[in-house]
Amino acid sequence: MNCNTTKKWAGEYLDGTLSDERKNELESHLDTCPGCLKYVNDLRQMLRLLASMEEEEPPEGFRERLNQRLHSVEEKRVFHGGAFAPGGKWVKWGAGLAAAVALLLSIHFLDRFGGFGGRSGSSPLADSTTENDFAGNDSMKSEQRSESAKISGNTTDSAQDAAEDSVSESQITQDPASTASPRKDKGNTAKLTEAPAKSPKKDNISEKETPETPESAEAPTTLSGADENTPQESMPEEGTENTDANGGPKESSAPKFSVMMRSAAPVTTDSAIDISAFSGELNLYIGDASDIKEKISVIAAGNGITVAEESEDTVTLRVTNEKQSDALHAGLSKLGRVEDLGVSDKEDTVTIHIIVE
Amino acid sequence: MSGETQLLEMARAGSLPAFEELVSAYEKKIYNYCLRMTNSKEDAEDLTQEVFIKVYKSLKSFKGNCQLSTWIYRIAHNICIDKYRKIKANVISLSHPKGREDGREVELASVDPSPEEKMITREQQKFLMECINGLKPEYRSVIILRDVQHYSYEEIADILGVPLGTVKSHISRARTALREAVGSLL
Repeated sequence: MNCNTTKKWAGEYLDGTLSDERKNELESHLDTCPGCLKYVNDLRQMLRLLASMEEEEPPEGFRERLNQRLHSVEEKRVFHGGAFAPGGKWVKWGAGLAAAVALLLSIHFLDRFGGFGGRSGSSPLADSTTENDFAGNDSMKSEQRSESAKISGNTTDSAQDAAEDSVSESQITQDPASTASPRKDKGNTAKLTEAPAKSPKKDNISEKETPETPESAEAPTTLSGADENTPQESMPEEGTENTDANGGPKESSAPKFSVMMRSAAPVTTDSAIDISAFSGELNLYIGDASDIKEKISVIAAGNGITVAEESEDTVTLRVTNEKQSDALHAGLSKLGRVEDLGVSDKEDTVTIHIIVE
Repeated sequence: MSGETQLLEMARAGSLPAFEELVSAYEKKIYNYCLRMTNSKEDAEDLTQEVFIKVYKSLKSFKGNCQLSTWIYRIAHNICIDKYRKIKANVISLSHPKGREDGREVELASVDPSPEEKMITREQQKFLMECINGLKPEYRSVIILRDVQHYSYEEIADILGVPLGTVKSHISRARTALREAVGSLL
């Protein structure tokens, strides 16, 4: 035992994790070495000071600023993620559609300017586009739409082969305004579906593919920025974990929240249930119904309450103790006005009727 | 299924409110960890936000092989270390800690401190934080996790992803380094 060993063992000694044998050895040394005794005492005082440091609250507005950033991330994710991510099925459809448009545009110009034997104006495709023109769109756009609908129905190899080339073009010509607003795209694509529907020349295949068109039309927008914020981002740190799992979640195969909640199994409890205290019905008056069921579910989940049943305007929860009951009422009160309708004959359930004022 | 696990599943399925609920459970701890690591409230807020954005983006890669808290702390640790490496800032001289040029010794607080003693304790803590800020980030991290936030050696090993023995030796060296930095000023 020497003074260097003291420094090595002092931390564990003060933590109380040093073995008895070493502890005795160290204490014997401290009895005879004033320098090491001072070192250990100073260290003890330093650790005491560190331990007494109080936690500080995050600055005011921290949560709001974080939530803003989270919402921004979520918006990007919704727009770029899922089926719209690179390799997603709608991207492939979009690529196919873009290729078809590019191909037919080429055919059209060739046809119009004599590329196919100079039958300008006599193309059957050109005829159909005149009939299919609709308000707010010029005839050229209309031609492209009705023609692309037909070609995408045929799903020719050439159209698929050309898909990769046309994607890059779509990226370049993407309107920034439409990138910022998915709803605007949907509005446009809704019109796209009208063209083949009105077309007297539509075939069965094009009609069958029509429901896919709106998403397909969004694909080029997705591609323009799909390289960031993909939901599959990996965390290399986790690969080095060396602890056991703690009941961790599995990869969700049902990503839709509403589906998951509906499939949630009711919880049974062994504890005695005071039906009068934890069973009942109430009205929740709210101004904005958006995400309300999700908000209720979050309150429930945060307090260990399970969603037993959900319908269009009601949510039924399993409430098994007073703490949960109090927390639920407190949480609901933050969402809107709560009106207690009294005790229910259903055991340990609280049914919330959502009423938009 | 615990409330946290339920919230985690909801957040992974895309529920932002569920994630916000998870944030509320950890924001204070993570903010204080970042605060001790940086000794700056502004930096601590920025880093804490970065941590939770990263957590949110990476939720689907969390396999549940460790506790959620451990995973979040690991992300916080990595972000703080990255930040340190990028800026290499505010490394103070250990022999002349900032604000203590007069060399005045600070009295230790008693068990039942008077208001004056409390003030002295706060001053000592502030000085200690400055000294911690002068340590290399790996030592800073173990001092904060062990001596300020009271995590066990095993938990720290999980957070840092290093063997238990490494944690013990890091803590021992970090304390010695801090003790030397503090000198006789406590």
